[in-house]
Amino acid sequence: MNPILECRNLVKKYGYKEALSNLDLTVERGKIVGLLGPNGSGKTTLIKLSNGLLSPTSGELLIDGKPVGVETKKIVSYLPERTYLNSWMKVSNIIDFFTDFYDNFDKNKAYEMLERLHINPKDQLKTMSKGTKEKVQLILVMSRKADLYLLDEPIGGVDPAARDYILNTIISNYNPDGTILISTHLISDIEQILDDVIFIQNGTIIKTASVDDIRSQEGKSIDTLFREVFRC
Amino acid sequence: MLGKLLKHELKATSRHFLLLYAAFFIVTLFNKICFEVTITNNKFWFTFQNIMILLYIIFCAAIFVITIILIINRFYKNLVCDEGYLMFTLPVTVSEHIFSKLLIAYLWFFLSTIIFLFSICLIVCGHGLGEFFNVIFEFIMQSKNYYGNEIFVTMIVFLLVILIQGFYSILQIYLSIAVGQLVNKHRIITSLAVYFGINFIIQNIVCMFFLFSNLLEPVVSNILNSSDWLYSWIHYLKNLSLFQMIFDIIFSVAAFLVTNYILSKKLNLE
Repeated sequence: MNPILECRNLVKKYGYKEALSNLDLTVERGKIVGLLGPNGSGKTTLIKLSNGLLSPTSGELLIDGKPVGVETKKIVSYLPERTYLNSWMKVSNIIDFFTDFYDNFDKNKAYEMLERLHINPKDQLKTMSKGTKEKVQLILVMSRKADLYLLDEPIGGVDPAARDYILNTIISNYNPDGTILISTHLISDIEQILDDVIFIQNGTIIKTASVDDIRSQEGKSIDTLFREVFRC
Repeated sequence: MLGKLLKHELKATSRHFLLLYAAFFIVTLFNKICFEVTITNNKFWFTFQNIMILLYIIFCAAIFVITIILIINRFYKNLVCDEGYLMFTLPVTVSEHIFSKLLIAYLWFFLSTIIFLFSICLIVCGHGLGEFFNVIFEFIMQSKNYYGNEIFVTMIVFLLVILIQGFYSILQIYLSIAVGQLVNKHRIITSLAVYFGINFIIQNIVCMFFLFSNLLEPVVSNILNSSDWLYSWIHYLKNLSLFQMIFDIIFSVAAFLVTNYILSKKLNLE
């Protein structure tokens, strides 16, 4: 089985600015991986390249051994930082939408999660608070049985109780054969659920390791290591 | 997947358009009633009728303006704003996105035109509408008697040009929005500039083509010199329409391909 995500000499430039410089990366299946780095390090760029919202300037990015396209989008589930839901639909409409376009979307699971959160499927999206919309979005993303989940700052801008809820939802609902790639800089909350970490800075990978190795070898928490590695 | 996109597109846009058509229908009915009721020697009523007719004309223009605004807004909001994060990560190709929006936009454009024509007929009904159609019919029959089927061919070509022009208009809008999203700031102004820029370039291209291909010269002198100028005019219009149609098809395909390229390789969502 190929690794779920492979980057070879990946370069992405915005004009003259190089967001990713000759990046090489391999992410294996079945892991929860943290993509950690300071602001502007290239986390979102890497994620957008993986889901097709950006095209590489040069180099290769393969999902399940294939270049990014319609086939890879079927197996990638993406949670952006912002809300991508429209305002006129009801929750039930957007669930039907996901059911239509994604074969691996589990409608029942989605309704279950909504009920647990006391979100009424007949509510219109435009009447919901930002926090509730984000929860709906998370439910939609995690109700897919994807091979790769790309979560861009899933707990940024959310209160601590909601953070716990989101992390719980992520762990209890993802496809166990799948890989989750979480990009964040709120490390202390996340590190409890991570298997591996990738440290990225200025568009290059500084370090990749498993969380266990770091804790045993360096004897530190990931949060502490992050502050050391990325000291300003 | 295209079918699903079409279904979704229709669902998303029908709320606005059906509301627009319902409003237009009510305005038409209201005007029809105003138009039919005559209160003799009443200056107030006469003034009121005239104001109503003026409002009706404005509303007729509005239905097209609003149609275009809705089409622009739909493409912009759904593909180039936040919703684009969802749309472009769906397992569909960019060309399917463009095509689905194009077809549904065209449908609404077409319906707006039909409803407009229907409304005009309704207002004018009983005041010479029948005679108007009779005159047109007579003209067509006379042309057929004298010149054979040339008149029908011309009519069909004319109609085809109008239909194809509709596709091109929408694609030019989409292309302008696609180019506009390439920049980070002042996207809307950029899109407007691109739109009018394309208009300018195309008008020049078409003009140059006609000037240099001698299309106008011999035909015009033929028409002026011929003993049967009506036939020459019909023939000339037919050729003109054919060329216009070929141009429109070429520009439509070009606009589609460039828009597809930009949104596939140069997508720049904020």
